[in-house]
Amino acid sequence: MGIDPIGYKPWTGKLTARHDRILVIAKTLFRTQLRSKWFILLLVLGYIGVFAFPIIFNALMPHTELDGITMSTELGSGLLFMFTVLLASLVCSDSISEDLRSNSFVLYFSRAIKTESYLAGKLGGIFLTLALFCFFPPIIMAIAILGTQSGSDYLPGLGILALTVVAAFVTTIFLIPFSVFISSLTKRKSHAAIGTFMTFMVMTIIGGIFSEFDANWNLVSPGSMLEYFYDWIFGIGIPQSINEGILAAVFAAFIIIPMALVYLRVKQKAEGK
Amino acid sequence: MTPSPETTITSKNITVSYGHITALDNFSVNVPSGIVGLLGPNGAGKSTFIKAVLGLLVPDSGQITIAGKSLTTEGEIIRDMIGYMPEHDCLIDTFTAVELVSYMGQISGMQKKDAMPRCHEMLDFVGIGEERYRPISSYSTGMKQKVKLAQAIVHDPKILFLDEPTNGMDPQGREEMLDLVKKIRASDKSILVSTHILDDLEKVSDHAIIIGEGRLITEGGLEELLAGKESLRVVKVRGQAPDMEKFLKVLGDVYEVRSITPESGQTSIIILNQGDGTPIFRLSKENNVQLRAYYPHKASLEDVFVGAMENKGGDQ
Repeated sequence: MGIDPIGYKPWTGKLTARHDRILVIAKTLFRTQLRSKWFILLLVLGYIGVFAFPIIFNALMPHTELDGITMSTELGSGLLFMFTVLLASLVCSDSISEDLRSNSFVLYFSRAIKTESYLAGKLGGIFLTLALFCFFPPIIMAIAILGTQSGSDYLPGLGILALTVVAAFVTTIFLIPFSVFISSLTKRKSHAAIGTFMTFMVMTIIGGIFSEFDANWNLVSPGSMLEYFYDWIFGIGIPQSINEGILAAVFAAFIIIPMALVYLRVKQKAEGK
Repeated sequence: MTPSPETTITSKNITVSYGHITALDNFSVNVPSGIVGLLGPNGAGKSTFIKAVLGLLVPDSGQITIAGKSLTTEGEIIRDMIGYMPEHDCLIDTFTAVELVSYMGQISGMQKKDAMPRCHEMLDFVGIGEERYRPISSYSTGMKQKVKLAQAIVHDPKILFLDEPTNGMDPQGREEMLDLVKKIRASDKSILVSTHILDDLEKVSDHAIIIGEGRLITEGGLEELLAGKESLRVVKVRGQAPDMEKFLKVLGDVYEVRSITPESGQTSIIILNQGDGTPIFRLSKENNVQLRAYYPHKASLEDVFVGAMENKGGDQ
């Protein structure tokens, strides 16, 4: 009977507020991801390949101020998008599929955790993890460019910095709902990861092919969608051929539809169906 | 059915359906405090009842009250008071036992500084040693059952639901698990144990609820159920074969004989006797057989269960 058989002792502490438990789920997911050697490897490669050189280059290159075109170009780079997709595929892959595989939903939902709280915790954990690549480095880049400008007027640069925060936030959250949705469809995280990556790649290819007939097909491609969004955020303006209404609708659909499906799927699982 | 002051769970006319299948059919029961066994064959509705009580599934109709609180309006408060050990595999097997139990403690509302020492205390209690630092995927079934119990009690819930706690365990493991349940009971908890292993329940429970095809078949204190509603008596006699034959014939004329079992050198007879035992003594003397014992028959839980299921069949 174990190393030290003891009797049952009651616990007399005080329970935390229920919303604090969302943070526990988020922190646990974040810590688990930080232990993944694949995640660390991709993160380091991404830092070096996507951010280190552009930060050094942009800081050393003579410039009078931080401008929107520079930040939009840097954020819209294909390499950054590729690493974002790879990391989103990796990080989101086991968010729900792990619980599907181990049937552990019951452990959460037999406690005072609602479907909304569970999802908020999972999404929070994924956001924290992806923010290490998609949120903080672009802001650091903007600060580096702002800090090394030759001009004396910092006000426009600070405005661009604020917009960079918004753009970095959009980059971080944009791929999460769809990736989590794919994770909620399978019990195997490898299937979820490959499925997520391939889906984004196929969407990019489809967007590329059909945009020959109508430029709005570009909106099917998540990378192009983000590029248009950066242009819109930094005030550069989107091409005339792109319908702004369709852009907004597709962007909302990328976020809302997968999240609604994930919610229904988890709710179904919570009820043991 | 009026709930007693000690009633932990009250369910009134609960109906739960999965498509065309009715898992619980107007199920009403008052679950008292103490260790209560929920008995029934596979598919009887035991797990469905537990899930409904946990709020994991919403009944089609009916009301559930736990510790005086309505599950519909105060579900989260109730779930803070509950610990649940599921029947099936549910552990996140990439975690170690320490990680899992402290994580479950924290999402039950414990602070990390409380959850970690409490987790070790509970793992000590259930008998998980240094293995606690290994991933759960490397554990045996018995160890997984113990971790499931540890995560259910880590936040010291007032009410505990154990769904098939000895599932897949060897005899020694079963004994250990039942011993743990008894120890937890000592700290004044209400424990609802769902099982189809009747021996297990007989060892630990105070009260039993027998459920079949989603309906309440019978319920009551274990002693009351085992004593039986009928006045069965055991008569043990010894004598020569011709005398025994005569005695059994006369006994059969007077009483309803339920069973005759030869034992080493004597015969054990179970009869239905509503009156006192004087005529038995007289009959044995008249027939020249030696009456060795005469006492009330105590049924096993299995007898009660089989009897209840047969009566249910007869009722339909």
